[in-house]
Amino acid sequence: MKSSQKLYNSITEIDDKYIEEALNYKAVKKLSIWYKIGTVAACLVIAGTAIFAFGNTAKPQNDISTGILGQTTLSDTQTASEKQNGTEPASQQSDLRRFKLISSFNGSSETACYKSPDDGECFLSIPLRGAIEKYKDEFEGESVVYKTTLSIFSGGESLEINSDKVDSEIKRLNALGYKTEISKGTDGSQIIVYATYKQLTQFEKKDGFGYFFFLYDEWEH
Amino acid sequence: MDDTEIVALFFERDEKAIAQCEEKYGAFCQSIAYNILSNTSDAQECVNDTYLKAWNTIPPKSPEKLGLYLGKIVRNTAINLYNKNHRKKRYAGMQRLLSELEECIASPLSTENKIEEKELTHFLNSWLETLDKNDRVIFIRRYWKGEPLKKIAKDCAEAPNKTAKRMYRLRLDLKSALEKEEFLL
Repeated sequence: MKSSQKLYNSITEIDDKYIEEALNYKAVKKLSIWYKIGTVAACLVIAGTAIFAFGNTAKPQNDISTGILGQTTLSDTQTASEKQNGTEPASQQSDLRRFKLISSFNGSSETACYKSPDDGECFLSIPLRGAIEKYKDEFEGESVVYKTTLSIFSGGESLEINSDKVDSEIKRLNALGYKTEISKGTDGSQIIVYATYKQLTQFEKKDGFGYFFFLYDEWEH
Repeated sequence: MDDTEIVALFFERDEKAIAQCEEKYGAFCQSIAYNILSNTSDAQECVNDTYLKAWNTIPPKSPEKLGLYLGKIVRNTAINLYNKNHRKKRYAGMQRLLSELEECIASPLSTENKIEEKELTHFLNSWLETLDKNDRVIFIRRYWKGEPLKKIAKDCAEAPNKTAKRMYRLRLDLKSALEKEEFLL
């Protein structure tokens, strides 16, 4: 047997704690001060635009934080809102026949860097927020369903989909009326959640958990 | 269904245990086998063999962490299939991983201790303990799970070339640790 293969074989039986640590690892990118300054500047520009667009009639949307620490620009938002992509024929989902199903949006997320939500926080990705902003009025809000993927965190660490904690959270979401499914791929499983505008913006968080929703087609499939 | 319930099904000799393993850990096991064999049908064969081995070993075994138990079985099964077939088939995944690990092998300059696999695992555990968490994570994801470097880099929020450099330094560090102990593989 080749020496390298002997080494490779011996890695199989390394301590479970190291394997678990590696499989559950979710990096939180450390951001430079310039990223933070850029983020604050971008937020101010977006806030200014929102005030300009909606004036005093803008009502508070929800208690959900955005969780965006990365670079985002006004042009991202503007471009995204002008595009008509990401809608699927409603007939693809029999249970959702009455709804317009949104699974993608052309708001670029490539330059965004997301902070992991702490316990009690629920974040929505940039494209998802763009889609909500775009479609909530266009299809009278509640007639739109967003196909999302959900990451669940605890103590700032991403939980494994197969864990008991995630399992109980999925059951809780189903009981609350969210339609969920587990999608399996070669890179692992993901939680898919079909949710309306209200279900996303008034998401009922459970103590001890953090949540991050992404649009389904933000990532490669 | 949680792991305890699935293991209970194995103990009751209920075939639903296999279906539950497939549902919960099928994709995980498939990815480990595929990363070694780079062949979907061979990887699936390994996963099926894994369920059979789990069926034959539980009981008496009663793994607390079923995912890791299945992961280790599927890894061994895929390595065995590689050994059986590698003269007939080219398994790019494992060949690439082995060529990387060649860099960790010290040249036999003296009559050092010929180390056995079990001893080597024990040594690796001690070596891993000396690493910082990020380095340990990328080493295991690459050489235990066989994940592509690009995916590891993405998950670690860093550029692939940076991850590749870290991986290279880790291999050199492992080589130096093996040499220090005068272990001969």
